[in-house]
Amino acid sequence: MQCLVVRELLSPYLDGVLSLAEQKEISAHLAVCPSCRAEFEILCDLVNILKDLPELSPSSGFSARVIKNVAALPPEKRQGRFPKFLRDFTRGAWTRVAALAAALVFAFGITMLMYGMPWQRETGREIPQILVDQGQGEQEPVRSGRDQELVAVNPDYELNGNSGPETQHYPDQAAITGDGTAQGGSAQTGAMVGVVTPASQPERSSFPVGQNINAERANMPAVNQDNSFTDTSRGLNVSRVVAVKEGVISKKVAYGNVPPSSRESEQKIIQNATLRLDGDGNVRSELESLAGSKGIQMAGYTDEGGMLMKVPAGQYETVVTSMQNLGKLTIGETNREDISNEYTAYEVRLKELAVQEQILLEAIEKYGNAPAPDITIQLEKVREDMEYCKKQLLTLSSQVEYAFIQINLE
Amino acid sequence: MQPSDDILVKRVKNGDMDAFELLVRRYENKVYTVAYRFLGSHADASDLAQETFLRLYQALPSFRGESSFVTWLYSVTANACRDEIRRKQRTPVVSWENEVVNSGGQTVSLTLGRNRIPTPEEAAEQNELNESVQQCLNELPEEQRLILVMREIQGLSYEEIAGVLKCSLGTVKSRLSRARRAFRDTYVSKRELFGQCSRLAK
Repeated sequence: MQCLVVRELLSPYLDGVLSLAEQKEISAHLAVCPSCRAEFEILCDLVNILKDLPELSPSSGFSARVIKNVAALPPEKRQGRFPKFLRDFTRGAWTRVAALAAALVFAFGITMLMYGMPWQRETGREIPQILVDQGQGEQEPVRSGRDQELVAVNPDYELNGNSGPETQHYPDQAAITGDGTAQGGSAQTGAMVGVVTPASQPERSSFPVGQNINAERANMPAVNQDNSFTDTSRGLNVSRVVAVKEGVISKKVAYGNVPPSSRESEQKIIQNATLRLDGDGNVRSELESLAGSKGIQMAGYTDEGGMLMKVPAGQYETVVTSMQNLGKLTIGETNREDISNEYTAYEVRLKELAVQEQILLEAIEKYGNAPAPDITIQLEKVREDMEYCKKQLLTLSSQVEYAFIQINLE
Repeated sequence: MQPSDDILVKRVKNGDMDAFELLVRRYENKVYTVAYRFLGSHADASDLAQETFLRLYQALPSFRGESSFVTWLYSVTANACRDEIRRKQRTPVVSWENEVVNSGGQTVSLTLGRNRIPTPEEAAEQNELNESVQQCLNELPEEQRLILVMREIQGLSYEEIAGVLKCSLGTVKSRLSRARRAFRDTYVSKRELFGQCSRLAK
């Protein structure tokens, strides 16, 4: 077995979930290969470190809160038989809460229609605090006349922006030059700025996802070139326009240099197979010549004289078919794994990080030449994380791009 | 003697809230720990653990005892974590809350499974290690964090993980393998960054 293959199997080997044959093969390999053995020991150590993490306990009163929450469930969602007085009590409380919630939602809706979304208010000079929940009370739906001012200062943005009739963007730089004190409400309220929704035209805030992304990017001013805290050498080109859809960031226009949405819907599938081929003496050379064509690469040989091929994912079926012409082909183990979720998870994380980076850049800009050191540290950390996500995405897409086929010859 | 889980479950099904509270007290540490390892913040972990017990209570009538109560509780917990990922993906909100494990009040039974009481220096070192391990977990993508928590913290089997994630055993195998490798990379780079003494260095 090759080290590459062994490394792939160390994790299931550790858990003892491989077949007996595989298990034996790996044990044999580990006995002779110091580097794989070292790798295995690290893996064991790390697993133990995780297993040894101490058990924690919640703050006191946790169980009492659980009981209280259960009692507050609406009767039909509750099971079991409660004393009647308890049921009456909770039902009453629930009705009151529901009525209050409905009233709040209504009031919020009206306020929104009249004044725009809450994150469009102006903010002070503070280190950005990103709010976990956008519905939190501290974001009062206050909206000064600032936004209209900004629109007035930058009337040409709507005119020359080719970002579609539904949207209206302007970069934050415009906000800053337009009014020395206005920061566009960007930092504190969590990078929600970039779309202005004049009170009279609330429908403008709706933003069709995926529309004109490239056009917008092409139109983007280079934002971070003169910023000493921006390391442009990494190729991070985060633009400053964030679109808003019903209070949720629906699209980050550009994040790093990872290909955007066009491939998002595609399924990401890693495909591997082990085949057995019985043929005459020429099989090996025929396989090798097959490997020369169709963009197939020879990835190596196994100890038993088998061959490893790296096949472009789209060619997988064709290659298997052409192998059938070479002799008796038995398909052993095939492994198809859909990693779309994982891929998307990385993408989502990367987008989140890009938003954080954006906010930090704005904070740095706000502080001019003397930014707080913790901001730059945070920025470094965010960028590190972005690099990591990109690395993982690249690894995954390269795994998706090629199918590995191991051919055992008789 | 404490009544067994099964007896308590039966009593809860008959509407006995005291029995339910006993169950909560019995398992709150386990559920809370999983939530904290997964989310990396005490406030969020508390919410998620609450949510888990609420779900548990609502789902109890459908629990027929095919598996042990603990196993079932663990899959409910893991499901709650999984749904938390989905919820976050629907409404991408940003948080960089970096809560540090409160080594005084929050960590319990540090010496669990060990025979002697550690010296203060050893305890401090252990705390530091735990903290950096948690930070590494926090840095992983949620899907990988979840599978690591399910396997290493909860000790779920591959089959149980496949059940929660609704995927094949092969997928569990390779995902876990990748998650472990990602954790390893993060951990090793962190160690290089801070030069922390760790068991790996030995």
